Amino acid sequence: MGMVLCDPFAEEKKSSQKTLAEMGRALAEAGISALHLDYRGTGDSAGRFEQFNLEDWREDICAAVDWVRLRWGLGRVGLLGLRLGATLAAREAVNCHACDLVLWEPVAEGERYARELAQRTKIKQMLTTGPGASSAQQQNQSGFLDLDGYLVAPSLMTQLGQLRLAPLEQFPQPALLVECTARGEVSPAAQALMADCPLGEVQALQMEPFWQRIGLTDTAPLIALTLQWLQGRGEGQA
Amino acid sequence: MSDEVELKQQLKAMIVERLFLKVSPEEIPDDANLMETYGVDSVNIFEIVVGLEDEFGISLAEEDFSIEAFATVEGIAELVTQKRG
Repeated sequence: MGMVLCDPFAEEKKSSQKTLAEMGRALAEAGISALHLDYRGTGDSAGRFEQFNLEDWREDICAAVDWVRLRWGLGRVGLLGLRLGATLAAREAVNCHACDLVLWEPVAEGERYARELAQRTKIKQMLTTGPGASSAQQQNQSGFLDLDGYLVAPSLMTQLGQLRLAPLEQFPQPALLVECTARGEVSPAAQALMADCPLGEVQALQMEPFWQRIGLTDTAPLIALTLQWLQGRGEGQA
Repeated sequence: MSDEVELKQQLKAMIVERLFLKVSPEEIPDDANLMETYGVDSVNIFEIVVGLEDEFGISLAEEDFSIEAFATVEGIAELVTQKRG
């Protein structure tokens, strides 16, 4: 069995690298092969961030699943994604015939997410340089939006704004959605997303949003929960 | 209890819960500087913003973001009251 780990977006990717690397190691130690993917234009992959969009990164996820199947000779390959990575993984899971799907805090409403990205940038500016630039001023001459150093093309912002995670009713394989919240309670929105997924499950952990901070949150409970679920799914399967 | 006092209590409870602060809501003075007293940073302020939108039903625009508004519970309460109109 193998898992492809799908990163979140921009600053959230940076903040969550430690947790995703630890998840990969935990999977490997448990005998589950793991590939931690850098989408094109991110991490060690080729290209510049601003050259690519959500369609490209969805293709990258499917290419990574195919690569794991062919190069590692694994018949059973699943997807694990965080935030935007979870949303993209959920949308591609059927297309690339993923066998297990793990969604950590998926972005459900792109419009709100796009607004939150701008708010986060605004708050950082407010604390470091005073009132800061308006959204219009954050855009350079080509219309690219500067989100903490990540240049986001107008077309990508439009794609993000239109993104919406539909209920996973068409995914026939085991799926786990994990919410990390202050109360550690499953939200009605998460339940609705998984309500019609025949083998879907939702769990919640009381945990700070580790994808917003580098290395300060203990994410061991999230890794343990995920591993336990995957191992449970793997019992009796090839 | 006045609406203003109740609002501040609700805000303090939300802040303590969402920021995982190790104090009880009642211990936070209305005028305490949250950044200096509790180490509130940009990530924390973003969590407060999400809390305001989720639990207090307000939507913040660009012009609502100022250090004064988010420095104290008093400031945040004023912002909520103003946005609720």
